[in-house]
Amino acid sequence: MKSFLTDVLSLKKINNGIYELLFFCPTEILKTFRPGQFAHIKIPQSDAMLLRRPFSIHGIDQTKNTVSIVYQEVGEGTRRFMEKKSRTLDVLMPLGNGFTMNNYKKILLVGGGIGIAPLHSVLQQSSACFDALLGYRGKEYVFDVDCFVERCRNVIITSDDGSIGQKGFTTDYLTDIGQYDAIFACGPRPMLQALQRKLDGRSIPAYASLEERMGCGMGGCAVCVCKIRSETDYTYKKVCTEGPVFDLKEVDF
Amino acid sequence: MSVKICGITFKNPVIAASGTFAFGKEFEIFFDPSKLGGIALKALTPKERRGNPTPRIAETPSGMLNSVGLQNPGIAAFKKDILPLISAYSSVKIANIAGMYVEDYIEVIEALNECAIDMFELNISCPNVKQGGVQYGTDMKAAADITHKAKVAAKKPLIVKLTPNVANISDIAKAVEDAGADAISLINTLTGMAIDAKKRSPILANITGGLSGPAIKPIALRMVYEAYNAVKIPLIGMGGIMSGVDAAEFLIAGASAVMVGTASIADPHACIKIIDELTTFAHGEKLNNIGQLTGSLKVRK
Repeated sequence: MKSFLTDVLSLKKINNGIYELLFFCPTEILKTFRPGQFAHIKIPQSDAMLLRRPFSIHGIDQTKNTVSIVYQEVGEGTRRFMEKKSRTLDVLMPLGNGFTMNNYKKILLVGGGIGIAPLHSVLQQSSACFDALLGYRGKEYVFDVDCFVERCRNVIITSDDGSIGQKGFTTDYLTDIGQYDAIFACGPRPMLQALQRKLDGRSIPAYASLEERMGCGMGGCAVCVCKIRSETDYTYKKVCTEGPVFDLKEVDF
Repeated sequence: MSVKICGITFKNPVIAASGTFAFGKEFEIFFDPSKLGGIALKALTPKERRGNPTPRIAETPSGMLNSVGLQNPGIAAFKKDILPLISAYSSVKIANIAGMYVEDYIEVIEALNECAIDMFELNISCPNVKQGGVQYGTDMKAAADITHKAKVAAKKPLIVKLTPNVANISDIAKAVEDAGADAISLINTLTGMAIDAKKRSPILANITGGLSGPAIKPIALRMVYEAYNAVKIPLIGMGGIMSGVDAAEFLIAGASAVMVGTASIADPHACIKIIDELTTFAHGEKLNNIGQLTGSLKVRK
């Protein structure tokens, strides 16, 4: 984990409110990256917005030394990146634990909305055999489908309004779970919760990458916690350092 | 750059504020925590506290609200698992003491009296817990009572951390000084609130939280200035310090040292940057020692 100043190499709109940001990253930092880790980026040109924003890493390019972030514009902070004067970024990365790859041979990826972005980094960094269930709000929010189709054996697309793929939720298409060594998921809480219910009583390892409003990103302030089941009740664990990837069965929604 | 507070030497006047620096370990990948003047550790209560539900943070203009709610592992786990990892730090180690009842505070102090801790900071100013915390800090009698009991129990110098959520900071400062406090740190966060208008709901799960960051700096400076004129014991100033010049302003207002909190959340290197900038400022002012700044405010007659 290091902090560095870097220039925006490119920023392009890929769909409705969805952008891909590309920036340069020193080799020694890239080398330590594990899929599922995130970058904590200071909003450029703003003294009034003190806090960094956590973004999952969509992919890295070790030959060009670049990092790709695919994000959804949600407020004033993320809107700032589009401004021409916001060319220099203050980046802290890579943060968090990332997905446990464990030499799994066959992995099912379940992604919802912008949560599909970190799963792309898994595809990119692993030679495992993948199937994917990808859920979008609708056609105008779609990204990354081509990469997943190219790299996965089977891909099922769903959308809330049926404008692309099957109308419905990713978890409606969860079949033949027994064929997988592990499930990796990232997406809205209701999706993860539905997945957890569907996997109830199954022994398959399932990991979910969680999201929470974050402060320092390095375990210093204890604001970004999530509820994790304990023997007796629950405990709060830090999403930034003990996550963002948790054993899905242990998450207390 | 060194300063002496209650007979204890700080190698520089910059202290990491409680609740923003965990127990120090997390920052080791960025810098050696021994470079700091001091470290105020995350608040400790007798038993483990899970803290409040999330969201626990909301960004506000030039500041942030938090409602962590004193999440900590409790004193037994702290002594067993954490203290051995940090006892080698040469910075002044300050244990922040919290609890629901006076007895809790005393229990934590007694449990840490023989440990490798240099000072205690009595947290009677946390706005995020239903019982204890700020309820002791807003009432002169209650503040004096708990300070007195803590002072009797403590075998190390006692700092009392004050809340700004009071009508008159001078009165509270005087009350804890009279009750035996060795030093005062101020200000803790201001109780505040953020609302999502579209959802018509509070952003923090706890509804209210503590406001920190540059947004509160003018209030903090005013309170340090007022407290400096009210008491003789040393003050440790804090509230929105982001730069070395900000730190200098607090010293000039009357503080002997400063604490840096929110800045570390935005940038893990903040404390080191502030030490460097304050050193540069001191050189520029041709000071022999940084202590010359304390209370050096020139007020036009």
